[in-house]
Formats: sequence, structure tokens, C-alpha cells
Amino acid sequence: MALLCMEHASVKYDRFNLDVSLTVEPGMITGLIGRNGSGKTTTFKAIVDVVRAGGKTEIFGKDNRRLTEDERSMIGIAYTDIFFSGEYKVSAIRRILKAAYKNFNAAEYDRLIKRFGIPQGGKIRNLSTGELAKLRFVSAMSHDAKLVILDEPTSGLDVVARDGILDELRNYMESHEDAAILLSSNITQDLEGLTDDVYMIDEGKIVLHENTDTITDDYGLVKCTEEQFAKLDKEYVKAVKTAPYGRDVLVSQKRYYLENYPALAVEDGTLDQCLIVLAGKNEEDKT
Amino acid sequence: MKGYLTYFFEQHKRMAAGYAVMVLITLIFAVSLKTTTVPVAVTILYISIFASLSPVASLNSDREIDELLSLPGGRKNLVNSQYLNTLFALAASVISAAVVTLLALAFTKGQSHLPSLMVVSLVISAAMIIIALMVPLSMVFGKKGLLIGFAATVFIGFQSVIRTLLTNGGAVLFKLLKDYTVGHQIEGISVVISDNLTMPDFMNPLSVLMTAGTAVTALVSSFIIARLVFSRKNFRVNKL
Repeated sequence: MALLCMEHASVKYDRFNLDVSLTVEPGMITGLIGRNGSGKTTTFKAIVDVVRAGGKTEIFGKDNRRLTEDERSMIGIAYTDIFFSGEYKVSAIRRILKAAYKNFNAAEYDRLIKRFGIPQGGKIRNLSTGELAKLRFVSAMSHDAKLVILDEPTSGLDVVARDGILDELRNYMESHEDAAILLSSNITQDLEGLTDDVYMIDEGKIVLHENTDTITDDYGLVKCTEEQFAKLDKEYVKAVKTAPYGRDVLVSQKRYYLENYPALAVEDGTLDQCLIVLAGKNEEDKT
Repeated sequence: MKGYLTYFFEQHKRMAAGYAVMVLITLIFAVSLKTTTVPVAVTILYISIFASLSPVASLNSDREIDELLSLPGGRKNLVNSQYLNTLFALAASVISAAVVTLLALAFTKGQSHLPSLMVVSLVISAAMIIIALMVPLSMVFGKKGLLIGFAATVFIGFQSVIRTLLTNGGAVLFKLLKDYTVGHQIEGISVVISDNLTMPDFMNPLSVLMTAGTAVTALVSSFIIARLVFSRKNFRVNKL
């Protein structure tokens, strides 16, 4: 059973419509990538009913609005810009989490706080951007959640702290085999080495869903002129974007093009390339 | 619920510490003045006004509301928060109106305008109850509840001001007129007010102060409850 299943979960704002379908399976780390304002945070908020969405959103096989308090306490969530008031003392967070989550793991919380060097004295508003990001992460990871949702957990962190976060995520999945993590990041290299599955979102819609290994192993970016593009076999073409020299073509079988079009430059697939081409295509379609 | 209560306590504990300090100061004053009536009354007034400010302190930003919604209690956290804040505001408003009445009784013992002051305070207390009930009503009835709450708040606020102005503004004008005219002989016009005219009871300066205090308390409470009714939390509760 999927831990999270969204089917056409929809949120309507004045200038933005979200319509997302995605699934998060146990034992997997799923990535959600997209441009700023593409709908990642709104998707996360819709999952836990912070934003009310249409369509279907099920967590642990149950409608997300009908979850009991105990079931909700099996979700760990950290947003990129949402947290307790800056007026709270850092030490108060431990007390609130302990009271709120029945599975709160005080020893794990203390270990993570120590590992990331988060100062316990003083108020939240006095923490640096990095310290705050780490505290949000620790808050989501310290109650043995079955479903962990992290909105850009590595944002604003230095490379050492980023590595520490990724390391903790891997360890978490090793020690919680039935759990699942859904996370977003603008630093796509982080996701490439971590996630099993990736969803790409643009303008509120999922534009690509693929196994991460498939993207890195099989996807490629073919760079060609207009003439070359006209002659190109389009069978494995996923998206096309205009480039100064002609076209950037995202393909799902780079070997096919390497073998059949030796004159063309074919680069290895990366999440960045997928995002640039798919989002760029959307921009071109609009104009 | 336990999680939310801890959240609420962490949010308000500094204010609670402030109350404790105030109680301590009261005890010191009571001992040094050898009387308890005035310091205790002033302390209760202080605490009740500041307790009624707590809903303003907890009118969280959208980001904090999102955090509250993300805690296991979910939407219940927000609803509990509004009910608790309503309870605080309600209790604080009633207590402050009652304390103003008691102070008036203590200071103006035996004067004929007392019932009028008491009526003002009691009306305000009753109005506060009605207004405070608008918060849960708005949670049930949505925008209609908000509109009724707003109308009631405005009405109570204005009626307090108008009543104060009518009662005491008139009295002050009367006194000014008397001070100016008595003993003055204006050419061609005889003195219109006799020197023996006494100031009516309601012109007592203490009475003016007390009624003004009641009106200010009412206005502050009305404002706070209006803020509570129109808070982001309330809108979010309705939206969800």
C-alpha cells in the first residue's frame, strides 16, 4: 500500500492552479523538483491539509482529512519557510514536539541537535538561516515518522551541513524500512544521489515522473541544429526546447541516439537538464 | 490537544510571568499602604486588560498558522486556539468592566450617580459576552457570523463613547459655562446662572474619570475581540 497517494489533488489560486497526481511507496525516497513557484510547497501543504485541495489525497490509505491525531503524528514535515514563532525559545520546541508527537524520540532529537550544533539558548529568531533549516529538519526527523515530507531541507546550508542532512536521510531509511521520504530541493545533485523516484512539477502540473536511475542512466540531452532536428527520430523524444544553435532535445534513450546519430552531441541526462528543457518548453508553449 | 496546550503555554508564559510580578507588587503596596482594596483592584484591572491582549499576541502570521495546522491535531489546533483566546478575551473583558464598577463604588460611595455607572459597566459586560460569542459563531456560520460580530463590536464601541460624551461632555460644558458666567456682568444681559447653582452629581470629576475608564476599557476590549473575530486564524478556520 502506498503511504501517500494523490490523484488530481487540486488547489486554485487567482493566478495559479495546482493539479497533482503522485504516489510515494514505502521504503523509497521520492523527489519533487521544479522551478520556484511551480507548486512544490503548495503540494506539501495540500498533503497535510494545511491547504484544502480538491481531488483525492490519501495518507496510509486513508483520506487525509480523516486521519486521527495518532495517524497524523506518524507524519514528519518540515517546510522551507514555516515554523514556530521566532519569539519561542529554541528549547521550547523540544517540549512542544514531545507533547504533540506520541512517538517523539527525545534521544534522537538530542543527538541530531548535537550533531548539527544547533544552539539551545536564545530565541528562534536569533538563529542563522542554516541553524533554522537544521532545526526544522531535526523537528521532522525525531518522532519516527512513517512518512517524512521535507521541503528543501538543504536550502541555505553549507556543503558540510548538506552532506550531514543527506547522510541522516540515508540512515533513516536504513533504520525505518517501512517509512518513506518525499522531499524537494533546488539542488538537484542532492536528489540524484539520494532519491529512488522523481517527480517534476511545472506550473502546478506533474510534467515528468521517472525512476532516478533511469534518468541518470538512460536519459540524455541531444544538441542539434534545426536541420538535424528535422531529421531526428522522435520516438524517444520527451521534450524540446529552443537553443541558440537550434534545439535541445531531451530523450529517454540516449544510447539509441548515440548509436544512430554519431554526428550529434549527446550529453548524459541530469535532473537539471530535464528541468531546464521541460520548463523551457512550457515557457515556449506559452509564447 | 496536549501538543496544542503546550504550544499555547509556551506562547503565553511570559505574560503569565508578568502577572506574577504584578501580584507581587500588589502585595508590597498592600502591605505598605495597609489597605488591599485599591492595589488589588488595580492589579485585577491590569491583569484583565493584558489577558485580553493575549488574543492579539496570538494572532499568528499565516506561517505560524501553517505550523499549527501541521502539528498532529491539525485543524483542531486552530479551533482550540480560537476558543481559548475567546475565553481569555471574554473573561478579561467582564473582569475589567466589573473591576471598574468596584473601583467606582469604592471611590464614590453614597453618591447618586452610582447606579448609572454600574449600568454602563454591566451593559458593557453583557455586550462583551455577546461579542465574544461571535468568534465561535463565525466559526460555525462563516462570513455571516463575522459580519454580526463586527456590527455588534462597532455598536458597543460607539455607544460607549457616545454615552460618555453625553453624560460627561455635557457636564463639563455646563461647568465651563457656569465658571464663565457667574460673577460676570455682560452689558445689557443679566446674569443667567445663579451663584448658588451646585454642580450635579454626574459632574463629579471622579465620576467623569470612572465613566471614561469604563468606556476606554470597553473600546479596548471591543477592538481586541474585533481583531480576534477578524483574525487570520478565524478566516483560515472558515476556509478549511
